[in-house]
Amino acid sequence: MSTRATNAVSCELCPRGCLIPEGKAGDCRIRVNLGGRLRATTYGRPSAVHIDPMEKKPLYHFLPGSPVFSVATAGCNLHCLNCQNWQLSQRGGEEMEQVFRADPTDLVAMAREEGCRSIAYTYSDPVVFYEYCYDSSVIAHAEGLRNCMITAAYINPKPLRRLCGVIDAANADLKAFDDGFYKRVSGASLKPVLDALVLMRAEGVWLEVTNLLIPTLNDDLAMIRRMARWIRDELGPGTPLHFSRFQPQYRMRNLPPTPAETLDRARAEALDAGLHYVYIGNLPGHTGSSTYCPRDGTLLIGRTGFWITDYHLDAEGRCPTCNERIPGRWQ
Amino acid sequence: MSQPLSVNVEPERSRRRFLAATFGLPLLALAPGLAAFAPVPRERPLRSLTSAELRRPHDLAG
Repeated sequence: MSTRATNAVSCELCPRGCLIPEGKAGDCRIRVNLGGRLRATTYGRPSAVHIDPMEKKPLYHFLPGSPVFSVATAGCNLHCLNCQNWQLSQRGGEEMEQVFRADPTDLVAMAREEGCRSIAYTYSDPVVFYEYCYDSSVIAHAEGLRNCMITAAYINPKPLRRLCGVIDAANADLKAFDDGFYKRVSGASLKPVLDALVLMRAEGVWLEVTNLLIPTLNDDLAMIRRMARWIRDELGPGTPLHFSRFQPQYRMRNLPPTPAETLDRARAEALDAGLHYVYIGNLPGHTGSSTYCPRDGTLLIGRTGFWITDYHLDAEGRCPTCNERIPGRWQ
Repeated sequence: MSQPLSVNVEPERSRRRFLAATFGLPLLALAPGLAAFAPVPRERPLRSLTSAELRRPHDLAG
C-alpha cells in the first residue's frame, strides 16, 4: 500500500490498483482505508467454513480423496455476471448474515482436529483476504498441513510471489482466453491472470486450471484451442485442465446450461492440442471426470461427482500398467 | 446459503458498525448518531460449529 497526500491509500494487491479515500473500501469491499492505513476488514472473520472432498475444489492431482478444511470470507475483486457464489463474493463482511470469529490459530487447530490434511482458501477469492490466508498458511505449514487456494488469479506479481511461498496447490480460474470476455463478464482483464498462472507454476505451486464454458460467450473451439496451446507451452502439458459446466444464475440467467456435447468437443480439442489431463466438471457420471494414463489409456482414478470410485496409482503416482509417472502431489 | 436481505438495507451504517466491531474503534467517531441503529452480522465463534455442521452439504462452488 502507499499513502498519498490526500490520505487516500493505493491498494497494490491486485491489478485494479484502487485508490481508496479515508473511511472507504476498495472495489473488493473488504480492504478499507482507516486513518491512512489499509485494513482487511474480514481478517479472522470468515463467513463460510466447510469440510469438502478435495475433488470439489476441483483439485484432481493433489491429495485425492482427502477432506479439505475450506474457508472463505466475504468479498471479491472480480464481479462476474455468472458468479456461482455471489451471495458471498459480491458482499462486504458487514452485509453477511453470519460471520465466524476465527483467528489463524483457531482455523488451523480446528482443521487438524477434524482430521483434514489441508486447508483450502476458496469460495470467494483468497486474494481479497490475502493476509488472513497468508498468516493461516504459515501456521498450517508449521503444523504439518498443506494449503491450497481456489482463485481467479487476479493479483499482482509481488504479493503473489510471497503467497506462493506458503501455498502448495492452486486451482486457478481461467475464465476465457479473451480479454474482451474478462472486461464484459468479470470486470477484469486477461493478461494479469496469465502472468499469475505462469508465476505460480514457476514458484512450484501445484497448479490446475478451470475454464467454465458458457454457451455463446466463451465456447468457441478456436479460442479453446488457443487456450489449450498456451497452457501446454507456458504451464506444461501435464497441467490438468477442467472444463466446467455453466448453470444460469446471478445476473446471467438468460443463457442455458452448457450442453454436454460442448464440453465433449472442448475436451477433445484440448487433448488434441497436447494437454494430457483434461476433465469435465459439473456433469456427474461423465467419464471425462476420471484420470487416464496418457501413454496407454489405463483408468487410473475413477470419479463420480466428487467421489473416487477407482484408484490404481501406486504410492509414487505411477500407472500400474506402463509405469508412467503421473504429475501431481499424491501423498 | 440464505439471503442476507435483512442486513443489506443500510450498507453504509452497517459497514461503519462492522468496522467498529472488528477494530474496536469508537462507534461515534465513525458514524455520529447513526451507528447505534445499524444492524450487525451475527457473529459466532468458529468452535461453535460441530463436525456434522462442517460436513453438511452446501451449494457453494469451489
